Amino acid sequence: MVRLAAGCLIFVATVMVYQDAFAGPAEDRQAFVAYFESRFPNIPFDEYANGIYAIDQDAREQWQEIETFPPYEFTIDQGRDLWEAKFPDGQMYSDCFNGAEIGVRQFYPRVDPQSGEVETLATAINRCREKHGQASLKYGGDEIVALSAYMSFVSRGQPINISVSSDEPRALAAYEDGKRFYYTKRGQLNFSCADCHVASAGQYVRADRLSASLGHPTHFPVYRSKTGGMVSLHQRFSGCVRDVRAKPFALQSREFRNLEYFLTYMSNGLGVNGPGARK
Amino acid sequence: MDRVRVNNDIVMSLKTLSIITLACVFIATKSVRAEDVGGSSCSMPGVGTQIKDIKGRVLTHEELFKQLYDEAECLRRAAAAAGAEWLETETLLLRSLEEADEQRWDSALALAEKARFQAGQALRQAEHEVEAWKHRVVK
Repeated sequence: MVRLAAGCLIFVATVMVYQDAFAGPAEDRQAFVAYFESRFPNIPFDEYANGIYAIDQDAREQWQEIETFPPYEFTIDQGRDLWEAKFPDGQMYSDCFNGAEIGVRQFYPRVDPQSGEVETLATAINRCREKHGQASLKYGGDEIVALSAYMSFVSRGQPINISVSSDEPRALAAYEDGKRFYYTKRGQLNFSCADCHVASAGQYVRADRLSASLGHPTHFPVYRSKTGGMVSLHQRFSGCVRDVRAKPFALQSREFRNLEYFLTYMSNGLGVNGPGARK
Repeated sequence: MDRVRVNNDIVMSLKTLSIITLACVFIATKSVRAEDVGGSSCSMPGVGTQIKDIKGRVLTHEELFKQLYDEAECLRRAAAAAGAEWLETETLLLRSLEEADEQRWDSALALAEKARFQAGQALRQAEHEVEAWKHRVVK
């Protein structure tokens, strides 16, 4: 009898763990937001779009000074020039994005209905180029980052609006893959993304405080003072993976695209505020 | 033929080789594509206090290095296929090859052994994380 009861208990506990791990995207997001609201009760939801500057007052003051003369302005100008340039066939980037003059950043990443793969803004830009007979831009290169920066700039204020349709199994699979990546420990230091940006958010790592994951994708690409240049979200992913001493995946690899999909869905409702400036 | 004076650490760690080899093959067949891993080529003969080949001949430095290197590379590929490769493993292997080219065997063996250890640990980590990540999901 005791054995039966113990067996039932273990079964119920196992089912509960699996149910939690495989809760739907909406439940995941609700729990994710609630966690940070509980952890930082004085920070309004919209503030998470400002990353660490929502948490660290000293760093926020420095950032506001930096924003007086934004170091990414030249990149926006470069992106605007590229955006407005015509392809040899007379078409423009805007023709690939439904003629959008207003921003579309808030809708990316999304799952491409044809391929079933996650399409980020960067891969969408390259797909547009290929469609018009142009060579793909190098991911992480100046031009694609500049285009992304301009597209983020004209999308400022638009709330992130990522869909993970339950009618599209490939979307759900990509979301789950990104979620698994996010919570999986990796590298010689045995850290997951969540170890730093959920469990330790707001804590110091050496002289810097760790940002919360909520709002991470809203402000990329960013100008990083550390490198003196613009950095895409995937370059930042790559840096984090390297920091825990794991071998990074390629920029725009499936692993990183799925991670972006999960992470951006978690930030649904926050306003786009890229490009940004970070340490 | 020269007798091999094998570093004690290497000999001891080779005793665990069969376990890690099994883990490598297990993960290769369960979690990653076998063609990425090289099938059962991870197996290495000669586990014991002396490293001998199948005929009882004591291995030379070069032979021992080749076996250790192949084992490490096999494990590294399995770790990479599982998406769990560590940052320095490949570099360690490249450096071990350079040392071997110069016939600096102590250094070459030590580097290959370090790479083998790292790749084995990366695989163990990946195997553990297959389930462990689920417990970290924010609820």
